[in-house]
Amino acid sequence: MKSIAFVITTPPNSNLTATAINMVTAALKSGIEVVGVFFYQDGVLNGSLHLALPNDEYQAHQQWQQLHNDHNLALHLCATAADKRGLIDDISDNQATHIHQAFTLSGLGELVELNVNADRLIQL
Amino acid sequence: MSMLHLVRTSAFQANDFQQCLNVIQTSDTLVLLDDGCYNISHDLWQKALNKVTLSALYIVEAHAQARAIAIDKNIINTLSLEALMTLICETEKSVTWQ
Amino acid sequence: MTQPEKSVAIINASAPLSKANAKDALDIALIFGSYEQAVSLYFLGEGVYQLVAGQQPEKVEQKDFLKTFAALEFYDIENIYVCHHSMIERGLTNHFSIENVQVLNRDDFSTSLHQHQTILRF
Repeated sequence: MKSIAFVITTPPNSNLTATAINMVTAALKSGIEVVGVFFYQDGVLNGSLHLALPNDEYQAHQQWQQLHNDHNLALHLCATAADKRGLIDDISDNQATHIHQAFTLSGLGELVELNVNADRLIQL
Repeated sequence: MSMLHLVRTSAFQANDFQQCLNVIQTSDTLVLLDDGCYNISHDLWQKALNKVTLSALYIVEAHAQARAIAIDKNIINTLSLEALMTLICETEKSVTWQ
Repeated sequence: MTQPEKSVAIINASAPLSKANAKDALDIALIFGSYEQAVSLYFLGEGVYQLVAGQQPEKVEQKDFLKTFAALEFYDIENIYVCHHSMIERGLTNHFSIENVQVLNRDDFSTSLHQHQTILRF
């Protein structure tokens, strides 16, 4: 079976992100290895700790967190894209982080690694 | 060297689908998903049918149903997201038009 | 497990100034280049505007990131392809801001793009 890595560029309030989450879930269900997910451009907003969507709406960020918890799925936020959108992770002050612990801030080099390690790199 | 094309926007709104059709080759596969599903009602769909064999044209069934898009099996095949992920693995490479 | 090296194609399909896509795609190209990955750039549709000579991004509060195209060869990014059809549609001539750009007709553009294993589009 092949392995896949994903690049996600859409924010949590876009239905395109729900499709991406469903595709990652479908891959895992089919026994495909998901090497990791790299969030770029507005995609990094999925990693925000402070998202507050109405309870009766789709909680994209929680779905990512669940995928991380259930499948140990690596969720990489592009650090530059996160900085540009006010998502700061101050490791010296736990109160100051804006990023959910399921996500890791990474450089663009991580995207290169994912591309090398996965059979397919899919942009969504 | 077959390529899988994922089309996620409507040609009534954007030119992604038009660009896709300019690049697509006979041996490629085309999948409509998200608002890309609306493309089966666009004039350009005839061009897709002319360029690619019917067996390589797909629409994500749930995405079409969500939009009340009637599926004519004479112009497109349906697939699930799980089948799509398998198709992605089986095809050498993919490009996303969004 | 060692895998054969994958080559990457980046399709630039956005005009340079109003959206951040051009800059974001360029950042990815430079990273892949600096990690010595094979990367080729394709300019299609609105993306062909990125290479037009004489632009002045500073007039609209943009840093002139378009200058970076001239540095691509230092990152060993030497395969730069432009869709001729997209240029004709927009009435553009071969007056580019950089050299060693290859203008391809539709079929050759498609054939070239199909050589790569990973394709990203911005």
